[in-house]
Amino acid sequence: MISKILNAVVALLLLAVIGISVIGTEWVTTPLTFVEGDSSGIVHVGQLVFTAYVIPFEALSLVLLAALIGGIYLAKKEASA
Amino acid sequence: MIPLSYYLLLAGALFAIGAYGIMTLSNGIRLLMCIELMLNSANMNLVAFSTHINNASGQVFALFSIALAAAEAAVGFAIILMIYRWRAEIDIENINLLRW
Repeated sequence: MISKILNAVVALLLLAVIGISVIGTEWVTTPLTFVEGDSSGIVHVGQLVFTAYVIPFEALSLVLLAALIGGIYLAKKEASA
Repeated sequence: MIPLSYYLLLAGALFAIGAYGIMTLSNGIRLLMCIELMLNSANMNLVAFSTHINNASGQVFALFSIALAAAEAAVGFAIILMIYRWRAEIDIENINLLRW
């Protein structure tokens, strides 16, 4: 129980450090400019995925396939031994 | 437009909740759930910064990060399933095979 309280104190300290550093920073932002007919920007994101980031996209498909095969192999009930 | 610092404070709060869960956990499923919470707070940071510097690359990165988190969760659940079959428990306080 004591260690749980200590852990909560550590988590709150982490939150305090993050919060103070976020509040104390002057964020220079330029707001998102919306294109006509693309109010959420999802068309632009989709075009980026299939043009500028197409190599990471394909690599990600290989990673997902490997994770799928690995997960099924690990979770499979072994038939013998 | 919602100010950037609100998003960052929310993401920090999510990360702190996930870190608290990691520190106090005794269950393998809870470990994976807290890791997902921390990953999602990082995703929220990516999307918030992306919309506030008018550059959509951060949203693409968040998309990739979500897919990688799915892969990580699949492998993690498979490992926990194997540990349960091997030890008939998933209390990670007692699974100290890889600890020093």
